[in-house]
Amino acid sequence: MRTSLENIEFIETYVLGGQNAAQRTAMDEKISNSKELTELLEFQQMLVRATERTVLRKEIESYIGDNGKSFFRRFNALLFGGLLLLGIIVTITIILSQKSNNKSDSKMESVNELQTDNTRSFVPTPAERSITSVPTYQRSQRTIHEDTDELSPWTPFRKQFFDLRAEEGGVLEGEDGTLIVVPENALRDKNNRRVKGKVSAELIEAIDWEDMIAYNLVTMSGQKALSSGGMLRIQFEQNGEKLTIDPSRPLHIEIPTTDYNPEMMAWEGVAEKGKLDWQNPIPLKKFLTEIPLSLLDFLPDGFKDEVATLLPYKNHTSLSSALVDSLYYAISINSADEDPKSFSKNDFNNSCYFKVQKRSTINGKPTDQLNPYLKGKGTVTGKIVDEKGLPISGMKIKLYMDDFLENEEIVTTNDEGIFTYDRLYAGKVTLNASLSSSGFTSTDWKYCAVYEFEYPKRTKRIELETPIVAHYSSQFRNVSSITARKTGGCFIDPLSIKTLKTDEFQHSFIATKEFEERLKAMHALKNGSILLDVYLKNLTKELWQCDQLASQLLSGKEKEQFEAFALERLTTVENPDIYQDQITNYYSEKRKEYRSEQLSLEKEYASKSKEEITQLLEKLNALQNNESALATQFAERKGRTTKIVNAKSSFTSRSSSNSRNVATSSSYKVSWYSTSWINLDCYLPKLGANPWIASITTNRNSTNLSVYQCIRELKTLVGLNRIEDKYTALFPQNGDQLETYCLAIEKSENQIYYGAQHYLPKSNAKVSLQMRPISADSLYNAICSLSPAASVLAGEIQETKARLTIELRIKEHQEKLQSELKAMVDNISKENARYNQLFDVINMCPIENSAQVRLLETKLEPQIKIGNQ
Amino acid sequence: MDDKKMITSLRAGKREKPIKALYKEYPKIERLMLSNGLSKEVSKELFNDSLIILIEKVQSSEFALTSKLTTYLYGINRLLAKNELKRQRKKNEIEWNGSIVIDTTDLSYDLEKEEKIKQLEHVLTQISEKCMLIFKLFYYEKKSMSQIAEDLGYTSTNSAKTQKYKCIERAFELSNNTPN
Repeated sequence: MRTSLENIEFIETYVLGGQNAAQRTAMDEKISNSKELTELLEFQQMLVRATERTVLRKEIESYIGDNGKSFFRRFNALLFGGLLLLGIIVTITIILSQKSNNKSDSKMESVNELQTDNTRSFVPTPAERSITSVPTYQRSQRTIHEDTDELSPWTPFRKQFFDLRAEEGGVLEGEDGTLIVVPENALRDKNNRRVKGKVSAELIEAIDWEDMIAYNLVTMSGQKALSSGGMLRIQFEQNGEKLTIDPSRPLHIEIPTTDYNPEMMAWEGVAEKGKLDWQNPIPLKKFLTEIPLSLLDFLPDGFKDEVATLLPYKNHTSLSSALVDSLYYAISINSADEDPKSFSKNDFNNSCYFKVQKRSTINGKPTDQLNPYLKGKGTVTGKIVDEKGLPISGMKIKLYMDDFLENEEIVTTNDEGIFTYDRLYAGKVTLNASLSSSGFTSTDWKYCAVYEFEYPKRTKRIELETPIVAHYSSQFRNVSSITARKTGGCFIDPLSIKTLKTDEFQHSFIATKEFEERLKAMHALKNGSILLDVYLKNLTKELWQCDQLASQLLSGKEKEQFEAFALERLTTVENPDIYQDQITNYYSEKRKEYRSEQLSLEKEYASKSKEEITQLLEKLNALQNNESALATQFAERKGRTTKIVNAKSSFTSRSSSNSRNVATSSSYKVSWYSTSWINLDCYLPKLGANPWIASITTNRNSTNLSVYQCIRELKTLVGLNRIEDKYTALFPQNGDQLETYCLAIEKSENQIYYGAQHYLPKSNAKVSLQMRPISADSLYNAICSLSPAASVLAGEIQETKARLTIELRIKEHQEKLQSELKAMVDNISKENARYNQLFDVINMCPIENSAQVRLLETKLEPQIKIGNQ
Repeated sequence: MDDKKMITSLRAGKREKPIKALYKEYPKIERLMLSNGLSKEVSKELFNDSLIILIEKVQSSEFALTSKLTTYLYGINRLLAKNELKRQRKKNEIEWNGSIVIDTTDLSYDLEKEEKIKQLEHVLTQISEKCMLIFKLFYYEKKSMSQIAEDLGYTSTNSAKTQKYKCIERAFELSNNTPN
C-alpha cells in the first residue's frame, strides 16, 4: 500500500476513535509532525461535511422538484469570490465532538460490563490506562525466610524473590511461566496507606502437578474435588511487614497452559489444619492481548522448515524471515490462465514485467480496481536502450500508478526505442518494460527494465531526459526437463496472509497469539480460506463468536476443534485494564526474545554436522526411554537438590522453554488482590450414581498419614479420609482415568515415609501401598518418578526431537542438492569442452572466449557458489 | 407546522415536512433577492444553501431558538445575499424589513474552509457513483464498514475499507488538482 493510502487509513482510524489516551497522544503527535497527515485530517473532516451537504442538498431538491443542475454552474462562477455560510465550524466541532462522545460512552458501558464480569470491584479510569513502560524485574538472590506458613508442605516451598518499587509497579515472571503484573501504587501497609519505595515480592509457583504433591496442595473445595490449572501465591513485604494489595488496583496474573479449559475459575485458598480449602471462585478474564503483528507467525506449520531444506537458495545462505515470507507470498492460489486479460505466459512471465501481479481476493473474485485504464491528462515520452545504448524496439511497457492502480494498457517502443504513454495522473509512476525470446531458440533471453518516476502535478507532458536502460539476461533452455508450476489447490492464499499483517488489523483480534493459534489450525484445513474469511468479515464481533461461526462450517474433528475454541469464550482486544500497555509491552519483548532464541538455536543446529545431530537424537531417545533419568533431570531442573550428579541437559535450556510458554501459548488470566494462595480450577466430572471404588491400605498404621488420590491428566490431588484401616477413593464411571496414582506420605519425627502406586480404578478395587522411609532430598525425585513421561520436561524433549529431525532432513536435502548441482556443472563443462574442441578445429586465430563463458555464468553463478561451499 | 414540531422533526431526520413548510417562504425571499439585483437562479441556490445551514444549525445540540424559525431563515438568507452581492461587487447595503441581522462575526466562520467544502461538494460530483455511495453510507448514514461491505456486496470488510480509502484518495487527488 502506498504511503498516501496508509495515511488515509491512519486518519480514518483516528477519526473513528476508540484508542486509549496513550495511543491517542501518539497519533496526535504523528499528525502534527506530518504535513500530509494534517492536510488529510482537514480534508477528511471537510469530506464528511461535503458528503452530508451533498446528501442534504439532493434531499431538498427532491422535495421541491429542482434537478439542481444550476448549483455547480454557479459554483464554478463563484470560485474567486468570498461568500457564505455561517456557524459551520461551530457545527463541525459540535457534531464531531458529539460523535466522539457517543462513541466513548458506549465503549465505557461495555467496558464496565466486562469489568463486573471479571473482577470484584475495580473501575478503571482513562488516566490509569496510560501506563506505558514499566520495568520487568529479575529475580533477586535471597535466602529463604523462616517459614511461618500454616501449611505443611512435604518439601520446602521453593520461593522466588523480586525487588520492585511500589510506586512503579512491575512485571514479574515466575520460573514456571507465571506472569504477574503489579500496577503502580497497588500496595498498602497495615494501616491501609499507600506504600512507597522498595518492596520485595515472594512468589511460590505450583504449576506442575509434581509441585502440587510436594507442597501438599490438595485440590478440594469443601467435599468437591477440583482439577487444577496451576496454583501460586504472591506476597509482598517492606521492612519485614506484610503488605496488602489495593483491591481497586489488583494484580494481573497469567498462567500459561497448553490445554485451555474454559471452565477454569480462580479460587482463593483458605488454610485449615495445614491444608488448603479452595473457596470463593471468580471467573477468569476472557479478553485478548494485542501483540505487534510483525511479531506474530501466520505461516503454515512446516513452511519455514521446508524453506530451510532449499538453502542455499539464490543469494541466501541462511534462513531469514524475509526469505521465508517472500517465498511464501510468491505462491499463488490462482493460476495465471484464469485471467483472460493476462498475456500468454511465454510473453510475460518475466519477473521484471509484472512487478505487481494481478491478484484475486480471498474468495477468488477479482480485486476492486478503481480504474484499470488510466484516465488522467498527463503524457510521458521516453526511450529504452540496451546496455550499450542502442535503442530496443518492440519493448512492451506497462505502467503502475501509486502501487495500486495497475493499468491494463500496454504500449510498445518504436524502432527508435521511443514510447509514449498517456492518460497519466500526477503521482508515483512505476514503469515496467520487457522483451523476451519467442521460445523457439535454444536459449531464453529477455530485456528487462523497471523505472520509477514522479509525474508532476498540473503538467500536460513530460519527457524522460535520460534513456531507460534495459538489462539483458539469458539462460539455457532444457525443454525436456522443465517442471511446470502447480496451480490451483486448497490452501489459504498467501496474499491474504500478507494482508493480515497490515496496520489495519493491528487493533483487532487478528493481532493476538490466540488468533495465531486459530490460523495455524486453519492452515491445516482444506477450506481454511473460507474460515479465514469468516474471521475477517466479523472483526467487530468477539473472537469466540467467530470460532462458533467457523465451527458451523466444519464437521467431525475439525468442527470439534473450533467448537473448543469457541468454548474458550475469548472476547476482543478491547479491555478495560490498567495494565493493558504493560502487558502488550511485555509480550512484545518476550516475542522478540523468543525469536532471537529460536534464531540462535537454529544457528546452533545448522552448525552441527549430520552425525552430531543423529547422536543428539539418539541421546534424547535414550533419555525418553529411561524414566528414572528423566525424573532426575526434571527434579534437578526444578532446582531440587538431588544426590545424583548429572551432566547438564544438552537440549533446550530452561529459559527458552519459559519464554516459549509466555510468548506463544494461551494462558489463564485473572485479576487478583489477595495475598493467599490462588488456584485455577474447575470442578471434576460428577461421580454419578455408581462410581468406581478403590480401597487403599498401607503398611504404616499411623494417624498422621496423608493418602492421596491423584489423576495426572486432570491435575487433581485429593486427600482421602481414613475409615478404619482403609482409605476410599471414588472415580466417576464415565471418566477414563489412565494415570491414576495413589500416594501416601507421612512425616514422623523428621523421617518421611513414602509410598506410591499406579493403578486402574476400573480393574483394581484394592491397592496396598508399601511405604518406605525416604530422605527429604529424595522425596521430590520420587514424586517426579511417578509419571516422568507425562512431565513438562518430556514434552520439551519431544519438541526438541521434532526440531532435530527436521534439521536432519534439511541436511540430507542439502547434500542431495549439492551433488545434483555438481553433476549439472560437470555436464555443462563437458558439453562446452566438446564444443571448444570443434571450435578449435575451425578457428584460425587466438581469441578470448569470454562470450560463451559469460552466457553460462548468468545462469550458473549461484550454483557454482553452492558447489564450492 | 409550528417551530417546535419542525425542530423535533428535523432532529429526528424527518425533513420532508419542515423543508416543504420552510419552502413556502421562498417566493417572498426570492422577490427580495431579485429586488437587490440577484438573478433568479442564484436566489434559488442561496435559498437552498440557507436551508442546509438552518438544518445543520437545528441539528446541533447548541441550537437554541431565540426567534421564529422563519425569521432565522430570513436572517441567513440576508447574510448569504449580502455576501453574494459583495462577491459580485454590487452594492451590498440591503434592507429587508422584519428580518433579523445575522453577522458573520457573531459566529465562528471560516471563509476559506467554507470555500473548500463547497469545492469538495463539486469534487463529489466527479467521483464514481460507487465512491459517493460509500461516502454516503459511511459518513452520512454512519453505517459500519462491515455493514457497508455486506450492503454493497464486497467480499470482506477489508476490501470495502480499501475501496473507501481509494475513494478518499481519489477525491483528495481531484480536489488538489482542481484549480482554485
